[in-house]
Order: sequence, then structure tokens, then C-alpha cells
Amino acid sequence: MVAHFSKKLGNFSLNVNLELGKEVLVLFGPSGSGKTSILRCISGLLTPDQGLIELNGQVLFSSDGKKVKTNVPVHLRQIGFVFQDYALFPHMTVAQNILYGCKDRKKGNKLLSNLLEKMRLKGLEDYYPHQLSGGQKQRVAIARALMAEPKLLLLDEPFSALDRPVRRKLQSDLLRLQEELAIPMVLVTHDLEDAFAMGHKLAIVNDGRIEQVGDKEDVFRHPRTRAVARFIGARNIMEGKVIGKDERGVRIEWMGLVFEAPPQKVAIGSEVVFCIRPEDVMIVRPDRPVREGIKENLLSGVIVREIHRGAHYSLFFKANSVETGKDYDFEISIPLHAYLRLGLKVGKEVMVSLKKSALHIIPEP
Amino acid sequence: MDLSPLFLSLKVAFVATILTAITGLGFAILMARVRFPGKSLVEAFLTLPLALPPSSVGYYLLVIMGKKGPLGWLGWLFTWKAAVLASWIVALPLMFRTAKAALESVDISLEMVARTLGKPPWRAFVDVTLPLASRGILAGIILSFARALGEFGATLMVAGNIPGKTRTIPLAIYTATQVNRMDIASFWVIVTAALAYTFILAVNKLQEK
Repeated sequence: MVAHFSKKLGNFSLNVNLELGKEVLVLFGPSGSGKTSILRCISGLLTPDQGLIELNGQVLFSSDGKKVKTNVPVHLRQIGFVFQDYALFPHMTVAQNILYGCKDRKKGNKLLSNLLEKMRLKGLEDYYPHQLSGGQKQRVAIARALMAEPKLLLLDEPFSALDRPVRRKLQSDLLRLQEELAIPMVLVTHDLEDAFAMGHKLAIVNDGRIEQVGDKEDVFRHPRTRAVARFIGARNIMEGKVIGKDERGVRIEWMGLVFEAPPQKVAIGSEVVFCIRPEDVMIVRPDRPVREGIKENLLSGVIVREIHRGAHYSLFFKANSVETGKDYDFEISIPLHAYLRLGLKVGKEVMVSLKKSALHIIPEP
Repeated sequence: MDLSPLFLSLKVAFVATILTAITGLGFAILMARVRFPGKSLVEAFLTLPLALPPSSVGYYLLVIMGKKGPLGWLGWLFTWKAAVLASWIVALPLMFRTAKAALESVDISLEMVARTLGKPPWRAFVDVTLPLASRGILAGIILSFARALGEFGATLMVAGNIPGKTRTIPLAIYTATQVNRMDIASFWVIVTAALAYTFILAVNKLQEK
């Protein structure tokens, strides 16, 4: 799929540049950033002002801004769209809902039992939407979209109304289906965990624009702008100055300390913004020699606050030798077992390492 | 006792309701779905008969259907067909407004989904919105029938009060009281009350969820 288009929506404008193979693209960004409007433009429910939308080599929309050359109507695009509130037809049963988009009745009945099985809806064929739970409704909505054999599946916040266990199960259902069907999928979410669980590719949407798009890991590790760093939860975003670089890396001065980062294209003397994810701030064990990879960027300080988040802890660390004027300098995320083993608690003096390989200089702050 | 007013009333109301249902629904779809300049003016115009005195509706119809009027060639004046036209115009706003509200109460995203499932817009409307709005539309039809059955003013002006030909129940009541036949008047009053009450019950039943 190729989607390059722009559209003015009130006092806000969409600017989209996306390309996608048979994989899952997650559109991630805050509410109101235009994610749903992007899906609507791709599906044809909204018409862009200008641009090009292509699917499997077929032009679905093209306009130079003055004249619309191609605009395939929604019903001929073969793009499945799962709405945020499911939009099941309330006057139809589960089976009737799923069969609605079926093109070939004979094949449809076989596909129906297949989909009922896969989406764990067996036995619910004759139920009406109001008799279903949220998770069941969502699975019916997905099955209904798949019955029409779409060439692309769009999902708008598919997990937002579901509780955690249901959400996890549905995520794995969807990933399995996507692999089986081998169609591209675009999924909208404002939840970082969903984005991480589902995407192969990740696009960060902010204010109607795609701030950054790329492989999931790459976007998470190497945010290109400060906004992206903030959205993906980099948490520790700092300003410093490049004081040296060589083939081993870049040296950044921050509050009188010197940090080492991997080699990057920056000029010596330039002011930079850099970041490190909380899980890459490592607590160094005092009873052992410091292992390779975390022996740079050591800081000693004290834990000033902690939040228990289930399987891990968020610790707030204040460095001893610097005065930033903030109540903490770094946020650390540490697995529960490590937290317990190290006997961490508020007030404890610790040594941390900002893992060199994870220290990232933001190219366009 | 002459029962012809009952049958005449039912005939006029029945034919008028069919006309009202079709045109009212058509206007409702137009107003609910199509954007065009001057829409609010058209909408107000369609509602006008609800607010006008029936006699002024009757006056307009008289002018239109009179010998020199644009529809004079039909020769419908003072026949039951004129009564149908009068009832149709008077009931139209009720049908139009009820049906429009029913259509607008259906979530538009349902139709959008139907389109993404390969159905053209008209098909999505027929499959999804229309059945979901059907109770409201039916309520509009019953209200229109009730209104047509009770139509008096405009009917008197364009169809007259010809026994056996254009004397509907409301006219029969009026005529009976003029000649002090309270027995006949009260008979027809009870008949209309029973009919109207039944219709209102039916509409309420439809509008309960």
C-alpha cells in the first residue's frame, strides 16, 4: 500500500506519507492527532485534497489538488474497516452480521464456520449484538470485515474498550490471522503497549503529521524528534553539548559530567538533545565487577521515589554530583525480581549506568 | 343510519396516507442525507401546513384546483379526490418530521461499515438505516393516517360536504350539530375517539424501545 496525501480538516491538516507491505503498521499518537482521519482517507470515507493512494498497484485515489483524477468509491476498494465502537448491525444476528459482506453465498457458509472457529464465536451465531460482551463484539466486527476478503484491513483502536486479558488474547488472534491471510493491516492506537505488541512497523502521528515511520524497534530506539521521544516513553530527555567524537563514539557534556554515546553524525561543539529509555538505565551491582557495555556513563545517587507497576518498578533517581533543580534526574525501570534481589528502596544509595549503546542523540529536536 | 361517512373517511385517509408515506419519506431522506443550498427554507416550507390554519391550506388548494388554476383541468374540486389532496398536504409535515428524526437517530457509522463491506451507498441505506428506522417511519405513517382521518377545514373548502360523496366523519359531526341531531353527532364522536385512541396507543407502542 502507498498513501501520500494531504487534507485540510477545519483548522488542522493531515499530511501523510506511508508505504506498507504485507505487515502490520501501527499508527500511534495522542488522541486528536488525526489517526482515525488517516484511516478514513485510505478507505475512501473521506476524500483527501490531493495526493495518491495505491493498493497492490491499483490506484484508488489520485489528485493533483486541482482535479481529482481517480477516486474509487468506498464499496469497490476492498478495504476492511473495523470501527472503534465495532458498529455491528443491531438488527442482525452474529451470523448475519458476518455474512453481510459476503460475495458468494456458497463459499460464504464455509468461510463463516471457519471464521466462527478462528474468532472463537462458535455457538454465538444466533445471538444479537446487544447480547455479546465487548470482546465478542470486537471479534464479530473483525470476522465481518474478513468475510469480504479485504486486500487491506484497517482497525481503529481495536483494543481500547477491552480489559487486559481479553486484549492480550485478541492481539494474538489478530497477529495469527494477519500471518495466515498475508494482507497488510493498519492499526490505530494511543496505547504504547498495544503499539509494541502489534506492530511490525510503527508510525508516530502528531498533529496530523507522520513524525516518524519505520521498523518498530528502530523507532523505539532512535526517535527522530523530541515529540516522538516523548510519545514512545523515552522518559529521560536531556540537553547537552558535544565535546568530542571518534570511531568509538560521541562524548556529550551534561551538567559537568561526560556521557558516551554510540557514533552518530553530530558536530563537535553543537548543542544536542539526547534521551535514554528508563529500562536502559542500569543499576550497577556493588558486589560485582562492572560488566562490559555498562561501564561507561556511571553515576552515583539516591532513589528518591518509586512506583510499583506490577511486573516492574519505576524508580526515580537523583544524581549526587549535579544540581538540575528537578526533584529527580532519571527515571529507571527495573524488573520486579531485580528490584527484590538488589534490596532497593527509597533512600538507598545506588550506582547507575546510562547504557552507552542506548544513549540516543535526537537528530531533529 | 347512514354509515357512508365512515367508509368515505377510511377511503380518503387510506389513499392520502399512501401518498403521504411515499412523499414524506422521500423528503425525509432528502433532508437527512443531501446537502443543498436553501435547505432550511425548504424544510420550513414542508412544515408550514402544520402551523397554518387548515382553512388557509384549503384556500391555496381551492386556487390551485379551481377552474382557472393549474390543476383545474383535473376537475377534482368537490370530489373525494380533493379531500385526499387536502389530507395529504395537512399530514405531510407529520410524516416528514417523524421519518426524518427516525433516520437521523440511526448511527451513520453503520452505513459507512456497510460500504466498506462492498455495498454501494443506496444498498447500505436500504439494508441498514431503513430497517433500523422502520419503527419511527411506521409511527409517522400511523400519525399521518390519524391526521388524515381527522381532517376538516381544508376538506370542507375543497371537497364540500356532499352526503355520500364527500361527507367524511368530521363533516358528518359538524352537520349533525348544525341540525341539532346530537344522537348522530355523539355516535360519530365516539367512533373517531375510538379510532384516534387506538392509533395513539399503536404509535406509543412503536416508539417504546
